[in-house]
Amino acid sequence: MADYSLYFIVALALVVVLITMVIRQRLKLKDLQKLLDHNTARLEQLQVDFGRFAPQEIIEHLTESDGEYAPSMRSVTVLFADIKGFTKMCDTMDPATVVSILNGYFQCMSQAIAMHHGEVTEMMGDGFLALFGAIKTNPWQVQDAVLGALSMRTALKEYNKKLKDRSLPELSIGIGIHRGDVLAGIMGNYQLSKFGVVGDTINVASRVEGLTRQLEVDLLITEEVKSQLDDRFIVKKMPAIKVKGKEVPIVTYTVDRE
Amino acid sequence: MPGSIYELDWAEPILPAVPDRPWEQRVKKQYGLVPDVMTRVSTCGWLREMLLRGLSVSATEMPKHLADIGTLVCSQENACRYCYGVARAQMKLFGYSEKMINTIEQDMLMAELDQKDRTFIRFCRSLARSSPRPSKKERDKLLKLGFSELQVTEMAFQIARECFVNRVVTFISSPPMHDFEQMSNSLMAKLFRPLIAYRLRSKSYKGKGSFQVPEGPFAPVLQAISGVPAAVIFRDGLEGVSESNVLSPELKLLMFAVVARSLNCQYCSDACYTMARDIGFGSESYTQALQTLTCDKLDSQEQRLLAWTRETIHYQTGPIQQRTKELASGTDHDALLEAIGVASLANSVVRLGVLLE
Repeated sequence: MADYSLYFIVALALVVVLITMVIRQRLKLKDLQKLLDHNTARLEQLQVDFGRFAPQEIIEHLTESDGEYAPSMRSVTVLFADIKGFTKMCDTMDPATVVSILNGYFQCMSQAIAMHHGEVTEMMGDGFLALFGAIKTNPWQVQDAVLGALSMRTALKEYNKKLKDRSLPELSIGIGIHRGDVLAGIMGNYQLSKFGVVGDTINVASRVEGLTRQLEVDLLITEEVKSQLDDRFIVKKMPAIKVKGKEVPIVTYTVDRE
Repeated sequence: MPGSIYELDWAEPILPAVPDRPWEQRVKKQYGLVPDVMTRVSTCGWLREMLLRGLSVSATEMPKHLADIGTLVCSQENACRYCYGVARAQMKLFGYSEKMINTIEQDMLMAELDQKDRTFIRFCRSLARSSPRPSKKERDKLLKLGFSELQVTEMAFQIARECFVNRVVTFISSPPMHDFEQMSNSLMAKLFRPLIAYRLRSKSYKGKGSFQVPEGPFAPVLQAISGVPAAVIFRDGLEGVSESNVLSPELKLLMFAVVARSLNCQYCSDACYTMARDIGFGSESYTQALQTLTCDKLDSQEQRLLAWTRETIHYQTGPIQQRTKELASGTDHDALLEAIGVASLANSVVRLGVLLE
């Protein structure tokens, strides 16, 4: 009888130990699950936050393909925009006000670009670079870029009304558009890299934007862009002007819509 | 991710429900309930018939769990709040745990799935997104992993079908089926799960053997999927589109051509060009229409519908619903409903063009 009691006690003890182990493991698993959920939420938030620094498609591509993004030559339409007289504004105004004006401006312009399937890929001081057809194939990239620029014009008018209401100086911008091949990819080193494009097309768009001051207009396009526009757009030829880095003077056009 | 789709901005319905008792009875007989979207498509014959069979299609070749995963992944990829809720609820009723569903949704946890399942999910995402469309290499990878040609074809069909449903529902902004979603969590549903799952599976459309493919520019696409019985819905859909006279043939053709051009499908682009010549388009006017998204053969309403078509290829839910709502204010109800159907069908057929490469 005593032997049986001993067996019973040992078996009971084993069951208790086993149950304790199971409970402990389950608690541990629960903690791990919590940790995993927390980290998942953090990663998702990080992905959202990262979206402010690089186009969403690039982030998704990087997270889904072991961090690789093969560089490639692409035919894109490049839009360069800059605020005229901004440096002078910086010298005479309170920095916080300047930043607030600039943020509002970027917000309006980015919306106008996004509405026409473009991506603002770079901001440099008061200027920015927008690309059409760089990330997703876009057969209508030229029209989109020009329509985007015309929307920017309308959006700026609205924004200037708001600035005027706040007794702040109105802004005036210059936009240059050019189409051509660029090399697109992730550029930089391990510590600091970004999605970017390089090539002569970018330089030409930048030079064309610079010509808006000289020609006293707000929007200029090149021959390559003009050749792909239909008769919904009214273009006016401007005098050819020689720019830095180019041997032949560049022919540009102003654009309006019917 | 699951949270983010539930929190997605989802517009008020863009098209109204149009009561049609006999139609609703047919739908109820099929599904046991009348999904909201069915009451909003009731005036377009071919579209409602396509949806009646296409809302839920049973896999006959590939494993059922992969078909279920494909449906969920696709609705997640297309950010369709309605379909996503239904797909999740259905998976729960089929017996998937909440944990398993979350695992499928969160890429970083995909290590728990095997190599075949992971490659399959990548293919689903890639085809649904089509930015760019999956290459032949991706299809070959599935074959190497042991899937048969027919199974890969069925996968592509299931994704194209789900893309079609996602688009129709999103463009109409059909309200999510909260009752069905909550039902999947109820005690009754948990108790009778096997019975409900059996009924849901048995009511899904399966088709009846391989089908005949009529002659026409899209015949090779249909031929490629003809081994999957349920894929007959695409044949019937294309026939329905061509027979309907709500929109002009020129607009319908250009809508297909715009999608083919945007998704860079050479085969579908060539097929559209052949059809364009058949209905009297000159080469120059056709090219110009595609370049400018305007065409003097279309009236102002159809011009707007054509311009909208390009927005239906890669979109974000909020902006596309807003854009469709704006379009609805100046467009005839039947024309908009049919355009929603044609754009959705074009997006699916052109995605299926991947099988021809």
